[in-house]
Amino acid sequence: MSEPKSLVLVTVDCLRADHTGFMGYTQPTTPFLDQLAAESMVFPKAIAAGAPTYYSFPGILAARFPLALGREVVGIAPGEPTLATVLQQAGYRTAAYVAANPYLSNRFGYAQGFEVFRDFLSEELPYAGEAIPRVRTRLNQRIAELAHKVSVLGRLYDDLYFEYCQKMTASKSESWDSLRRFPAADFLVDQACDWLGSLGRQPFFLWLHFMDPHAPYYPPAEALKAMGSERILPERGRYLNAAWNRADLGVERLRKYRDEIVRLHDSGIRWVDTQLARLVEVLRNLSLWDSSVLVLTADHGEEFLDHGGRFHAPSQPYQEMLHVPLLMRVPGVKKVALSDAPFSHVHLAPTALEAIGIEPPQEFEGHSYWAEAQRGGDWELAVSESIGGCTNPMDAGKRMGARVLVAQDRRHKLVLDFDREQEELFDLESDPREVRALRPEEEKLARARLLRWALQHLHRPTRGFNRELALRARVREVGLEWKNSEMYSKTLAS
Amino acid sequence: MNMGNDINSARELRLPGHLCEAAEQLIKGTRFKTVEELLSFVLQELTSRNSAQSEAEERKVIEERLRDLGYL
Repeated sequence: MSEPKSLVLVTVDCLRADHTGFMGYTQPTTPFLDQLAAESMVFPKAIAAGAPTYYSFPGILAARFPLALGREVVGIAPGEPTLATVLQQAGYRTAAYVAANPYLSNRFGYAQGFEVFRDFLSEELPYAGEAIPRVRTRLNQRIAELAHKVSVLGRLYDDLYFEYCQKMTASKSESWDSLRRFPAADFLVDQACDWLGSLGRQPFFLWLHFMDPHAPYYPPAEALKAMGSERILPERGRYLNAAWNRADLGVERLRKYRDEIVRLHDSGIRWVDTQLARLVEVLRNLSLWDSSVLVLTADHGEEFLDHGGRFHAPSQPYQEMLHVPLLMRVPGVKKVALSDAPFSHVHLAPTALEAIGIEPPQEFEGHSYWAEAQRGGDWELAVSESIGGCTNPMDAGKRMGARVLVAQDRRHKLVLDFDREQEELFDLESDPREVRALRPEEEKLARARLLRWALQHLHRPTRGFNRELALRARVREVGLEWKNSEMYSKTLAS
Repeated sequence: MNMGNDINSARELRLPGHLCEAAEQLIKGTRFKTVEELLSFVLQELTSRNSAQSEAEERKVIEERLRDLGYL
């Protein structure tokens, strides 16, 4: 192996593959990354190991399937090998700047292996956040109850009350920056550049996780302008986000907000792209660029009513959620066209490690496809999994729900939802948007092949190593779950 | 505090003295009166949930589907 290179891992929250220019999007979200893609390995079909964030990241950083340690465990187990721990042990300097995503915090084990880990969850930041009072008076509650006895009146009441709340909480002095709930990409890149500037010639691992395309969608004004969406003003942005978040609206009524919401989301992507250009410029100026591998991907995508949903629910494992961009820029390596078969995120860490000259640990579930990537070789299929009903992993009860298991090869995709007792098989060639599940009698061979693969996934042996990691993680969670536990209630009641 | 344990089936465990002393400090001012109560709580939490059953059921569902299709 040649001399170790440094590694920059960029993960973007909620970035679906088809919203990047280098994957065919027609909006100018990623002009810089499109240029970079021209000299990078671009994986045509990178697939998240799970969604959302808490089911995706064990695949990215620890090269294992999200439920491999049992559904009791969320995050990285204490002592589990990750990109960061492996590289720290190899003598790398390590730092992570994570844009205030609570599921990527130290409490879920993500700080392991990083000498600098900033998640910005409890710090003073140059953004204010937003607090909208949502308390209804007793009179209002009574009117709501009466109105909802007649469905048309209930709907009218909800609309009027929503408009009333928007008017009452609107402020003329609102700006995009004051509305934003997490640090924007420029803030993270500033921090990362300061750290890069402090390094000597030691190889380093830098992980940046951006939240700019994540809801609520409040991009910087500069990004909106770059996207030609500057006519959307902050007060409209706030209204749109509030409306998009309404639980009482059906798909048809939400549809009227969709285009503007997508514009806000896309502007968030554009801001990440702009800041990555700046990061690379700094790497060049520090003479680090020619010895650095840059990997860019997303933890999962985002739904804009594609299958009737919004945001990124674990019960919606369609391609807008699982198909993510993945590019790997490796200096000195000739660009080749990569296989268009699904490439699972669980193979990303070992492949990236081999690309920088570090041997991946045996404990990883995924394995390196570095050799195949260099010669344009093939890989076969991808499995993704999550707990469909787990929208809040802090709630231990929800974590124990039924699995949603997805197996896909180049052409077919099987979705097994054990909660809804539903099985869907799609032909992605003739139906890339997954609009029509095949009838049970269609494509029996493909169905059986993917069912077998799903079974093999569930039958893979639980290693002693995994059992120990699971136990360590559960010991950690005894403390975390204290307030939600049944025993806690019993303890207080006794 | 009653931890719901059947005292007749209780077993003795041996722990390092310094760990017991540290645990005694830890439970001061809490509703845990003894180190045994603390340990019982922690172990109940650790053993109260287990996904093995769900996984076995999910495997069974897939096996049945493969059998339906005539491939198993």
